[in-house]
Order: sequence, then structure tokens, then C-alpha cells
Amino acid sequence: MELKEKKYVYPKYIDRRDNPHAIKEYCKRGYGLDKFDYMRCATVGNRYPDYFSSYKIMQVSAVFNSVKGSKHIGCLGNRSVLEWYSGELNEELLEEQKTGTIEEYNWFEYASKNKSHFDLLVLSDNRIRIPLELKKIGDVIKASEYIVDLKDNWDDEGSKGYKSETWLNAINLILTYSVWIKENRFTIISPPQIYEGPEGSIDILWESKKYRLLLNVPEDKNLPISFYGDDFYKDSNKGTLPEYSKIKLALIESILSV
Amino acid sequence: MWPQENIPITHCLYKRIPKDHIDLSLSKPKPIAYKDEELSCDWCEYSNAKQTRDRVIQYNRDPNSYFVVRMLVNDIKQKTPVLEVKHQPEPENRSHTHVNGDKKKAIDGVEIRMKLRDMSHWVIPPPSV
Repeated sequence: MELKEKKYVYPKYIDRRDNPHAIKEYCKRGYGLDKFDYMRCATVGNRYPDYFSSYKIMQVSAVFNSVKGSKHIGCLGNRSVLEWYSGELNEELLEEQKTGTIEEYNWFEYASKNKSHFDLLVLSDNRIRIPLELKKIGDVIKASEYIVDLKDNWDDEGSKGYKSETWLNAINLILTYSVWIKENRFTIISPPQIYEGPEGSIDILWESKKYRLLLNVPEDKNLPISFYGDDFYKDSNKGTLPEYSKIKLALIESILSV
Repeated sequence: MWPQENIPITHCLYKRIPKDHIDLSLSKPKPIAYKDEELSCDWCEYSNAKQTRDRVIQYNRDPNSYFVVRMLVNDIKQKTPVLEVKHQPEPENRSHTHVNGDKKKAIDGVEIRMKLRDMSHWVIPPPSV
């Protein structure tokens, strides 16, 4: 048994929104779906086996018929996770639920086939949403988390320690740039190296055999992010962001792509 | 005191790099290794790589936690002309040399650190991972 999903809208984590009325309100506020000519509640139960590993979808909270073009929006989830899809919900599933003959299936398998993002938990309480195609970048980000634990003189050479805000600014830059290239140039760039920089700053280094780009995210938010890139020979660029135009995006994309 | 001398461009400088400033997975120095405004190096005329590394003993540090790269003076002058290579002998180290220039300066600093890293070649390399 599976959902007849036609179009993926946007996955969203919502706490304690399994109440159909709360979901309806969320649709109004979150998606501008302010008119519903059909709403169906089919709460059939909750189960919580391993979070994110094999939990079963036991609840179909509501089905909306919106005026925004997509015919139906289905809400699936349990108390802590709610995912939204446009398209037609499998009526057969609803019928079975209505009659109480629920067939369990592995939500994780379904979700991993259809999900376009994953969540990365960093610095204990910061959840970052990353496209699945950029998983390697997520891995590099996670691996660089140790930087925020480095205190003054961490290297016995007098270097300054790092603030979590600086590191978060750096990974935000990496993700913004990677996602921008993915969505605008349809290219997946290779993950950068994330290094400790001077004076509490963070260095981000993209390097290939043909091109390299070093960005420096300063500790002081009022200072600009500076960059330098070259092809090891003649072609080079340097400046500060947001002077993005100085970075020859096309060149970098073609070289950094995997 | 040792006299200050001009360093020929055909000579090289040894730079000691602490383990924490090396990406061991790539066996390359991190750009932060070149952050100092007065980057201390040793002139090959009066020092070899091992001596450069072992000088950390005087600071009560373990020399095995340090590795050494070599940079050609000509490369420094050609590729980073804003930097100045200046022999700065010390009583206990005649080879001591500074590569002067603001490597923390926003734009130029990024470029300089990148280029110095690029022109560095291991003489005492870190163990490969």
C-alpha cells in the first residue's frame, strides 16, 4: 500500500500539530490555503517505534482540498513529525483506515525514497535542513563541529578560540552557496574543507586540480567575508561578499562539480 | 649578534608547522599556518629542516608534533610581491627570517595565506593517514 504522491510540496516539522484544527490553521498561515471545501479527519492511531528508523504511519490526520491548484493535500504523521504532500492521497488507504483495517508499512523506506531533504542537528540544538543531494556537504559540516570547542591557544601558538555564531555563519554561507548552485545551475558542488581561521574566523576552502577558492568568515559580523580564487595560473578573483559577481560562478561550478 | 644579510632568491626558507595546523587527511597545511604578520622561518643558509623543527624544544614543546615545509624565496617574491623577506637573526638562531606582510588583512590576507600554502613543500612531512 502506498500513497499516490504526485507532487512534493514541502516537508515541515511541526510539533504537537496532530490536531486537525491546528493543521488547518497551519495550512492557512503557512501556505495561504485559506479556503477548504473538503476536510476529512481520519485519525487512526499513533505508534512510536524507533524514531526515524522504522516508524509506521498510523495516522492520517486530514485531507484538504485547496483552491491553490493542487487538488489534495495530505497530512501524514505522528505527534512530532508531520509531512505535507500535494497530490492525491490514496483513497484506498483512507477507506481501509475508515474501516479500521490498517496495513502497516515502513514509513522510513517510503520517506527515504521520496524525501528531498534531511535534517542535520548541530551544536546540540540547531536543526539544519539540507537537500539530500548535498549529503556530503552535510557530512563535512558535521565533521567540522569540533572547531567551536577550540579555546584560546588551542594550537599552543596563541591562536584565538572560536564562537559558535562564527561557525554557524560559515556553514550558512556554504549551504546558501551550494543550494544556490544546485537550484540555479543544476550542479552539485563538491564539499569544501572547513578550517580554523585566524583571529576566531573560519576558513572555507574549495579545491580541485583546476581551481581553488578560499573564503574567510570573520568573527566580527560587521566585517565582510573575503575570498580569493584562482586556477593556479592566470585567472584569479578576489574580493568581499556580497560581490558575488567577482566570483566566476560558471568556472567554479564546472570545476567543483562532482 | 649576527649581521643581517640579504637572502638570495635562489635560497629557501624552512617553516615549522604544528600538527594542529595540518589537514592530516590531505597531508597539507591549513591556511591558518600562514597567519602571522611576521611569519617566522629559517634561512637554509644557516639551518636545516631538522634544526628548524627541534627549535621548539626551547619552548618546552614536543618536536614530534611539528613538521617542516620549504618555500623558495623566489616563489615568495614572484607570487606574493606584497610580502617582504627579511633576515632577522637572533642570538641563538642565525637563520631566523621574517616573511612580513599583513596576512590577516581581509582580502589580501586570504590570497597570501592561500599562495604561501601553495608554494610550501614538505621537508619533514606529517605521517600519512
